[in-house]
Amino acid sequence: MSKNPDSTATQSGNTRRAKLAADRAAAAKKAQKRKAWIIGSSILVGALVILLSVWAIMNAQAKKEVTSKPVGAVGTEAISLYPGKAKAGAPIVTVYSDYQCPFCKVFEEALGEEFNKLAENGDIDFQVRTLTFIEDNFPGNKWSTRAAEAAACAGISDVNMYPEVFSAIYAFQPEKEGAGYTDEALTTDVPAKAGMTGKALEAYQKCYKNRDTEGFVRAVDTAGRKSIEGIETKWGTPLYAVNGKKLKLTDLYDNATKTWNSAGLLDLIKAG
Amino acid sequence: MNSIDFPQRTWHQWLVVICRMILGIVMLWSGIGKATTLSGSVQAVRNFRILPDAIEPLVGYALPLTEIIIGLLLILGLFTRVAAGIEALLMLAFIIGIISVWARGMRIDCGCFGGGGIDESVNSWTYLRHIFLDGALLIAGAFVAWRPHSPLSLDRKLFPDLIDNNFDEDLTV
Repeated sequence: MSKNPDSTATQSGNTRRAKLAADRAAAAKKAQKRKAWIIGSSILVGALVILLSVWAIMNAQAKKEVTSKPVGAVGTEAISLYPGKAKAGAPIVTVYSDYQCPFCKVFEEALGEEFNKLAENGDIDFQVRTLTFIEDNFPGNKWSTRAAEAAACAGISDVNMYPEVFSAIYAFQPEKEGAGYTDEALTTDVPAKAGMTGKALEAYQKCYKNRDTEGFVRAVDTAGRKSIEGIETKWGTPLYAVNGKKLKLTDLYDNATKTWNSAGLLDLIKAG
Repeated sequence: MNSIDFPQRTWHQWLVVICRMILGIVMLWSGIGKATTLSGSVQAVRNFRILPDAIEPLVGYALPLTEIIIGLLLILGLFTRVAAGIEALLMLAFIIGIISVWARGMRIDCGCFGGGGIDESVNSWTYLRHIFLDGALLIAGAFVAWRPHSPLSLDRKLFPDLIDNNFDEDLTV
């Protein structure tokens, strides 16, 4: 049988064909491997480019220059409501708040006036640190930032009505958390309630529209988040602090009569 | 090469497709949720208080991007094994993060789908639920990484020859 030339020819033909097929399969495999590497590395490189661009953009935004800030600005960290009024040695009372935070509104309405009175008298230096973390919970919501920008605009020298606007904004806080303010409320209703008119109103509206205080608000928010974490690990707003220590304002609330003992505020502050 | 035979059992292959779609949609959804509030994503990472300050922003930006890419890869069935493996590792990291937060008695929203922050309504059940959910996704991801071959996948279209036809030793890129 082995002498049969026909059979040998067929056998070698089969081997050759098998080898050819194996070569072709190996070549196809190699080509596909190459394709996999090209597609895979393109995805990786693309992702890296996107990541670096996002990082660069966010960094640039974070470093956005503080072009305009309120008269009462304490560095780029806080806003003093009555700058220069505090007597020597008067405690610094800081409130960390977010304009979209419902309890900030409750506390401001209950005790805001008393705080302002003490600050105007120089008994305390009342400072606000506006945070914007609540909008992070609502995609597309920018109203913590926009309200803080509006308030900061009310503090620039051409307007100088920060305390009035600080409480006026809360008056227009939507009932549902996260529903957000409107441009109209912040540019018309708020200044009207605060009693802003004429040139001051114009300057305020222009500042809000141009977002002149954007950089300042961002800096205050960044510094504020760091600072509040240092006071309390499980922080929330509003947080009132005296010289960096949390103030237990709820001690002033009388559950029986459902009233606030605002007269006791200064003593509580002094007790630390 | 399109007529290649895949001897994996049919029902098994379709189970992989179902897992791929579920994992892909969950990944894509959570990635987009985070990407629309990038500063929130960074804050959510920060809330866990695990990573050093300096790399928190980078992780906050990279996480949504990774989730979106992995989600798309899983849905398309491209680099299925690698994508599912990364998905499973991410879930493992999330579970460790949640347990760590829970053990430290912190109450934060996980920020799993964007957002996140201090949330007093969070309790042990919330954490358990998240661990259970992430655990299920981890198992599904590990399963797909183990047997990645499935119909409706680009892997089959683009790299049919890189898939070993043997059910017991299947291997892909």
